[in-house]
Amino acid sequence: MVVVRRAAARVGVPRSILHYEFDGAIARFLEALGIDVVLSPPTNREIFLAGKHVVIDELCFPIKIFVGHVAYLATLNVDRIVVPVVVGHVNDRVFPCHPRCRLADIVRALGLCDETRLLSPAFRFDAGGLCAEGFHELARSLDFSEKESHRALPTPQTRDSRPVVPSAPHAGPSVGIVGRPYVVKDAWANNHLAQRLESLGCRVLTEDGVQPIGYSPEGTGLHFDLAARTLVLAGLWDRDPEIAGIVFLLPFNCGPDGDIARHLQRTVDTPMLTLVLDELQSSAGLVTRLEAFVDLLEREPVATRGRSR
Amino acid sequence: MKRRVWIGIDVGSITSKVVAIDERERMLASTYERTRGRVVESVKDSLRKAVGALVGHAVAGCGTTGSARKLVGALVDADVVKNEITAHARACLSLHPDARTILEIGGEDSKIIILRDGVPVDFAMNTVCAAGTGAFLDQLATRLGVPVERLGDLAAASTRDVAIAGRCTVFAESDIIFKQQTGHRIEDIVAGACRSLVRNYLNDVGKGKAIEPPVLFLGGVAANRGIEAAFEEALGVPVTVPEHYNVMGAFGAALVAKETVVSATKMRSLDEIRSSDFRAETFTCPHCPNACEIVRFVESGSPVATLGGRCERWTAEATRASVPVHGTESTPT
Amino acid sequence: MNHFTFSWGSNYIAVRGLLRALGHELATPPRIGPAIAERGTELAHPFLCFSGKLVLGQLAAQLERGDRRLAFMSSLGPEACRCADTSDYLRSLFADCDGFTAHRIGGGGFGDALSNLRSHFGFRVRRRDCFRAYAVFFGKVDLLHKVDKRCTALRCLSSTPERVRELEREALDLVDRSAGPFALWRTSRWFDREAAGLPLRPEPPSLRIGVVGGEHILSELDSIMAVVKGVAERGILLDWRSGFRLLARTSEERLAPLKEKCRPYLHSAPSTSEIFSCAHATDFIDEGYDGILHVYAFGCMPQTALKPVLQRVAQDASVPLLSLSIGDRFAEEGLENRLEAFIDLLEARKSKGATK
Repeated sequence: MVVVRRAAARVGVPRSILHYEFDGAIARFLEALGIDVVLSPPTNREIFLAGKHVVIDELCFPIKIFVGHVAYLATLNVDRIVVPVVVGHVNDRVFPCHPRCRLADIVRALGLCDETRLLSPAFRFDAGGLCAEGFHELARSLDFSEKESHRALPTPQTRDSRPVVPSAPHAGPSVGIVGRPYVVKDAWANNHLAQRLESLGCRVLTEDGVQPIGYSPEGTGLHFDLAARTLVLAGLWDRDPEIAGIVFLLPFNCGPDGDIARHLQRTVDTPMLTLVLDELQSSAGLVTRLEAFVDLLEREPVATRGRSR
Repeated sequence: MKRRVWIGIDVGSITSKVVAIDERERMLASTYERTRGRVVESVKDSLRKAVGALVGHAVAGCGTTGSARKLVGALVDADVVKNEITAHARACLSLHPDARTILEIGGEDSKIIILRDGVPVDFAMNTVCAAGTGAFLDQLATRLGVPVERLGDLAAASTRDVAIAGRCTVFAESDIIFKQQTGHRIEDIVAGACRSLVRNYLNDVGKGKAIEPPVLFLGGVAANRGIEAAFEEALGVPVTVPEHYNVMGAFGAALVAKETVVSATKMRSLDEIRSSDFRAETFTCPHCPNACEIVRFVESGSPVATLGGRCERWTAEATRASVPVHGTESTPT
Repeated sequence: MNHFTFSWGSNYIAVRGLLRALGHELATPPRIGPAIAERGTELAHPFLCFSGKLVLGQLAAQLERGDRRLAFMSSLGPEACRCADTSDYLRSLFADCDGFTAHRIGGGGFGDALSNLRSHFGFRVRRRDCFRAYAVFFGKVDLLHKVDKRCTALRCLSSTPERVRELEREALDLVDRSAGPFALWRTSRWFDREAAGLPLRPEPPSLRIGVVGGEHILSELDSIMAVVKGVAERGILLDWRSGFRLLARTSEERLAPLKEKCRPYLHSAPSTSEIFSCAHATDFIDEGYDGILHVYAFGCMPQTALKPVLQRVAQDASVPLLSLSIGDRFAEEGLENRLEAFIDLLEARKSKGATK
């Protein structure tokens, strides 16, 4: 086994998937250990294409983006690249989708870099974030002691738990964006949705302004983790009179999100726009839909909500 | 005193439409032309035909819509640039205030708009797949060697149900060839293809939408009685094709302009527009790995507006600040 | 009480066996074909796996003819994917259907399954009866699998493939009519005798192809897999080693050696479906099979995630792999073309004496 001189270790972290799901916890952990963390840049077209060209087409849009980030890091002068995977919720009834479990194996199979450069800690998670074992596994593989690992464990980011009601009156409609964190927070993936909505006069909300979201929506029988979370958040916003509209981001070929799309359309009363995200959708089409949606929100006074549509 | 008119221009990927309405929102003139890839010339031509013929009228406002709405808006200095979903909804509601569903099938895209109590509450657009659009019929007409305008009559003469398979125009074409080879009547094939288009439309754009009567059917494809019949069969409710079914977008843009413009119009005179050397040029920005495609509108050698780009780099070029693109001008496109 | 179910291949026979052992009846699901696929596609979101669309198509067809009490098999755990506990999901999809009820039969183990039966069917089910019903169920699952595998192999090895197909039909019918464990045992013996008595071709198979992939597609008999299995009659041996039990999680003891086999390629929490596919592929390679066929439903998440891994496994071993995704188009021609081309490739390699 090659012993890495810890103080000198540079570790690449892909800015994708788990990085967004868990508020960059892995990067923060590595920094706390004293590692020089190299985070890949925010997604851009070049990074995406690097992923798209190597991975099979049937896999969903976000996986292609992730692989692109790893491919990019492989070209840099880093000693190791972290490809973390989630293996399940602590209670064993909520599951990550199979591609997210398989990330490390896929990256290895694609041969993007020498296998010895890859670190693939496996994490369990709950509503509070990633569980400690995965961090310890990562620290061990970098030759840190358990004590050092404990000291470096990231605290859950304090989420702003103010209610969503805006403090200052806002002229335009408030729009909430629901979806997997790694498309909601990845501006390239969502084609700068938040910025576009803001330029149309909207106040944009994401889950960051909401209290920790659980994984178990009642009575849906669905157990895919992020799809379940999306339902919970959409339900919260649907009941909130301040939210005029909801935008649901649906990555291309995402099975779990496809499952809930119909359910959302049937059960959410608030006007909702479903946007399928992939690299082929035109910006012009997106702009048209957003403009029409904002027009619709502006014409439909919030007081009329609750009528059957 | 000159009578006031409002102009609506709808330019999409295949056709451009111009409408002029009067104070009482009656249509005074309309044109419907194939763009044939030359947007600027087509618009100049259409304006000349529609507006140039109006005598004793003064333009009080102008609105543009359609996928080229920003380009045309910059060309004519429109008062309002409005997306085509809102424009179509506005037009339909003015003529049929009780409409609850709008089905629209254009040359290369299709839309559905759900209205309740005179207000749009939901919509969907298809811009990825051609199976539920006019392109499917164009292909069918070419394959069968008939003009696309005749397809409706052929479908009406069908006597037998023929199912055309495939969720994709390419696969459907294979099946159509096969049906021809195995001796099916052309009328039955066309009717089957119409049902196939309707099925693809409902499965894609219409999926999960609460389609309730009264149902309006718009767009160039609405001229095809075979499609109208296929919709009625599939939905089980009557479907109405309004009188100006193929220029509703332009009509809607004109209505929005009429509602919005309170003082003098910004629209340039027809002479100015006709003599303008307005053009669009496209280039790839080399400044970052995103490699965005930038569209720059140029007139008399200077840039007047830009579209495209994920950052603000190119928007500073715009000199015609009056181009009202509803707040998106300085936004990544 | 009459129930209906959705089914992949013939496993409805096992469900029927379980219900009959408890005094209930089950309607035969409609044959899978383009009409079912079409109907399911209309109901489903495009991103739902093709197997799921076939399920929805079957459900819709049966609801239309008035059936209302759905009993379906599933187990909990990652391998079951979205079908784990979809009663609520299905109910919401068919909310307009008056009187529609959906009962999941199955669970994380026998205890769960027992309490499911009791709660869903709302009658006092004796533990002994349940035990017997599940014994019948598992007996039929295993026997159906044996019949499927053996008959597919015999279509290659026997000189009378039409008789093999006949035998398969007769066997399925007999399995369906076998009410209890003893009858099942007799049926199994009868099948073994009949199969052993078939005349064999003198020449060995020209090629041996190992089949791995999604359980739901592998168990399809009539339509999709009929094309694949038709290949056997050209003297090509097709082998697959599933055994994925629908009711309970496959035990850790059974999975552990398989996981060990996959270790170089699969690390983090592979689902049962992925473990089976990868381990069996490794077995086929070790046993010198000429090629691997990977068959799965389009949109099947575990199998799609596995595909690049399998490609690497095959590449490292220099064994040709064909990955066939069965999808919306339900097109046999494309399938046949690709299979034929793959077989041509394997034959050419073999005749050139290609080695690993």
